[in-house]
Amino acid sequence: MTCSEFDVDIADTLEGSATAEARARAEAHMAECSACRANAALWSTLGDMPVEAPSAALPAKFNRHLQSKLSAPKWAWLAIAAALVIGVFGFFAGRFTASKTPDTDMATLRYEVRNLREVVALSLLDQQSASERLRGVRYSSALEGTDPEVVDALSRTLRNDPSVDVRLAAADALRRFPLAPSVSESVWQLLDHDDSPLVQIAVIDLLSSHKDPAVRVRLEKLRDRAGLDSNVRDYLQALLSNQRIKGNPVQ
Amino acid sequence: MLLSETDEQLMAAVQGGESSALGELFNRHHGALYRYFMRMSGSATLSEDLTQDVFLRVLRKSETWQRDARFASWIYRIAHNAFIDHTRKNKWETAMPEKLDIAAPATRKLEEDQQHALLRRALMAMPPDKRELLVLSRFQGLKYEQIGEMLGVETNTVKVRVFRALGQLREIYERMSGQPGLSIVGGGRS
Repeated sequence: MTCSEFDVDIADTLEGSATAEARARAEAHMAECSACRANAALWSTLGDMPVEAPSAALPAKFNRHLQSKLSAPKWAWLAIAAALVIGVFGFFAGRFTASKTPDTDMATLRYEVRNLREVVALSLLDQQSASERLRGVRYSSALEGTDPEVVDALSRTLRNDPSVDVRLAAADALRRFPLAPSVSESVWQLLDHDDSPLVQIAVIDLLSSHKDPAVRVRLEKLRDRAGLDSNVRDYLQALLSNQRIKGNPVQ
Repeated sequence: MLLSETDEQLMAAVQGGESSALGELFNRHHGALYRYFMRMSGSATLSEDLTQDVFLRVLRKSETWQRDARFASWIYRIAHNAFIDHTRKNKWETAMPEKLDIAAPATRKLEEDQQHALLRRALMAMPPDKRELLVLSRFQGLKYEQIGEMLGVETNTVKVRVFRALGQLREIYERMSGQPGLSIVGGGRS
């Protein structure tokens, strides 16, 4: 007899719902078949696997989410829809009113598509769901050009997002944009407030990737600051001794 | 008062517009749904988002709930659809399996931890539909009959598929571990 003739009996036995006859058939087969015995043993091992728990804050987060849905600002989605409609309308209006040379058409098309992508990226960054905001960050980092509004939104996300994953992604995305002095300063201040060592290290990478001669001095001061996480301090020490950062070491 | 009501009574209250009943359903089921999504996706952030999404869908689709239906089967069908929708929308994003150091174990506990970590990776390497059968039957404790209701297939078909998925998981596990079986198993199917 083949194993497949016992699939149902063994499945019932594993679940604990087999009749006495089915259980006897399953056990007799498993006594002779090492593969089916192995599968049954695996079932038992799976049952011993540790159970993951969601964060304790999830119910409160859901309640806030639910309340915001119930008092629903439907206008938020309407605003996104309106922006998309305006983008599409602008695109067609541009096509019909502009001169018809192919180069102008292509330039208009690129411009409109870029605007549309920026609208989508900005609206994703404002979503309640952390995975949607992560998508927004990825979308932003794929944008061409350096729209200050996108840089501002990413910087705001880096400073304020409750999810470490999203803040890390925002720090990474910002590396490809030049930072205005005001944005750069607010990112420096983040090093005083963010309690995640991973985010602090990502911010240090972000700041040291920009060619600002004052960076080295500030990082040295940061390294010597009391209360700094020891992993962050070690990372800073390695980075500073690597000589990759411009500026002279403080004597 | 809500605490003594069945899931089905709470769901009827949600249909009647009582949003506090949805809060109680969330308290009862969010842990199990989170674990379902963790086993399916391997991502804690995504699992929390999808768990919340399921309950918002419950609210939106409350009028489709039929009072004689089992709430557990219905909510897992919603969870199944939420996961499928997510994977369709994000085909380019794949769950990152955790890194696993398979160095020689120093203790029995460490050996078990490594075996479980490798099993989690083997599960993530399975096709999602087969992984889901094992997740529902083994981790979520759903009966074959409930899984059949949820997926729209015969109960006996579910039994056969679950047992075959188990065999497939064992093969992947053996390939990943480089050993012919768990420390307690081995051999070939006749």
